[in-house]
Amino acid sequence: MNLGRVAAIVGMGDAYADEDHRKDPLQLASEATYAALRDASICKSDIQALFTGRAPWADRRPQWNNIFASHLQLPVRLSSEITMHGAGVNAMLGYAAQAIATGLAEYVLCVQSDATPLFIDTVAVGAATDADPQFEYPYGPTIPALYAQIACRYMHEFGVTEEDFARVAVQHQAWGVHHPKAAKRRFGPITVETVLASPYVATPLRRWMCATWGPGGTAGAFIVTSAARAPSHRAAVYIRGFGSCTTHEYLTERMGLRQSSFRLGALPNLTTSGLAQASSDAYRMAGLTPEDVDIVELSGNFSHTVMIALEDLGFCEKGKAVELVRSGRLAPGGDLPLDTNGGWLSFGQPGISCAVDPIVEAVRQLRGEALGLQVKAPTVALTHGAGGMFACHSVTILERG
Amino acid sequence: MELEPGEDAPATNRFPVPRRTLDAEPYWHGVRERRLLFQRCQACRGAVFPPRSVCPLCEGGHPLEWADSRGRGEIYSFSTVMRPPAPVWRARAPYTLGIVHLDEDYYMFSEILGPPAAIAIGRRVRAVFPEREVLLPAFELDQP
Ligand SMILES: [Zn+2]
Repeated sequence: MNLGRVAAIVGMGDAYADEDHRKDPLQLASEATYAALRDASICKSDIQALFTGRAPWADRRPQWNNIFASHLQLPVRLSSEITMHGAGVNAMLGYAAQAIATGLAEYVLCVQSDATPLFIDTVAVGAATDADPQFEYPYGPTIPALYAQIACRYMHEFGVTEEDFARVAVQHQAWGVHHPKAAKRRFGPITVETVLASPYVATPLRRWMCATWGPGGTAGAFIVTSAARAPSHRAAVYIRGFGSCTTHEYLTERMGLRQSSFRLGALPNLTTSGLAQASSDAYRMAGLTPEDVDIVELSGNFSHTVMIALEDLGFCEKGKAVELVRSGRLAPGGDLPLDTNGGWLSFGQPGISCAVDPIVEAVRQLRGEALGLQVKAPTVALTHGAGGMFACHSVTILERG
Repeated sequence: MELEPGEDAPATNRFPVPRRTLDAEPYWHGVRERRLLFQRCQACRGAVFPPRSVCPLCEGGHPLEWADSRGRGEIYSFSTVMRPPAPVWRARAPYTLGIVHLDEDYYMFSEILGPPAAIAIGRRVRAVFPEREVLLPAFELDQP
């Protein structure tokens, strides 16, 4: 069975919160879910399976999927948190397709929300989760300092410069200024000089090269059903391919990984990610190639991970993303629109739902309903979820019906 | 502060102590004696770090044995922390954290001591054990 032909998103709902309109993760997820149900023209009782990603930072109770199902008074026969760090948020669409394919459910609800900046002291956020508590965390790393180890190698191996990292931030901001919910919209357009004048957080990463917090809260909910039922709903978006790959938990463990049958480059390294394998699996399932992709919505937490992701997604050779960035193809008006809501660098990350925001943006773009800049009639969107220390990756390829 | 979502940093004014695993007890015993230990597989002879109970490099779940590292290696990657994670680190900042490729062919995350401008990929380093609140191995630059 080709899982790239069995399922479609037939309802989508999104929700947003900020300091003036405070909502917690349960409220955001409820609002998005009912918007998705209305969009699909189905009832809550039509849902037979529920997937979420990992528990929101702003409501960290374990088994949040069950808490939310209970909150909705929604008995289901299949439910789980899909937790490959944040990548599981993207992977839940693939799990929904599998539930449809096996006949376990006719309608599946996939939902994720978070509102970290509204409920957590983000100034005090550190690397306690993503650093090895024995061999890394005692040295005092921040998350940027851990990701900077990858950036330092990437610059060294491929001759990439801080100016190149700055260009990535400038292009994201060029999209973000048009999106009403983008956290950095208020700063307006920026230049390479703006980025290079911002302070180092952890060398070689400056503030504008790092994902920002906010908006205060977001949620995305998707109703997935069979391709056979899809045409009876409005504006179906087909799940054409998906793939995931996780390679490690801590950075030091990645350096200890010396062999794998996956496409991880010459091991050990920090500059080829599991996304290379995940995307290859997704393209094969979809019967598509990178040339068929019209828009790309990444989980790009830093300038350099955006560049590495573009390579591992097959849009250019390893080490050549710098040419793609310099070409302008990724910016507004280009032929390979990237992170059209501003991405994590400009739209921002509200918590775990940062991995659902790219899917919301992809579905809106495919339907011609973008909140920010609308790309002209895209047909195929590639969405990416990432999590942990560039450790877990998931790709879902969507196609307009 | 513009960081990726993570856990709340411990609201404490003490440096964090390593969360020791049973597999790593000999490593920490070595650190107390100012020795840097690592593991080798009894079957494939590969160097293994961080410590574990079976070899992950070859098939068959072979046991590992402990060996002394010479504590010499070269810098694989590094970053100088300008915005420390918690108040306790501020007096020490900026400080440089990096990945060191030990001559026995394994990799460690550690602190690299020395002026940030002198730190570069490929620079030779040696293990040291600075007298601090929490005893951890670090690396200092060899003289050029
Ligand atoms: Zn072995």
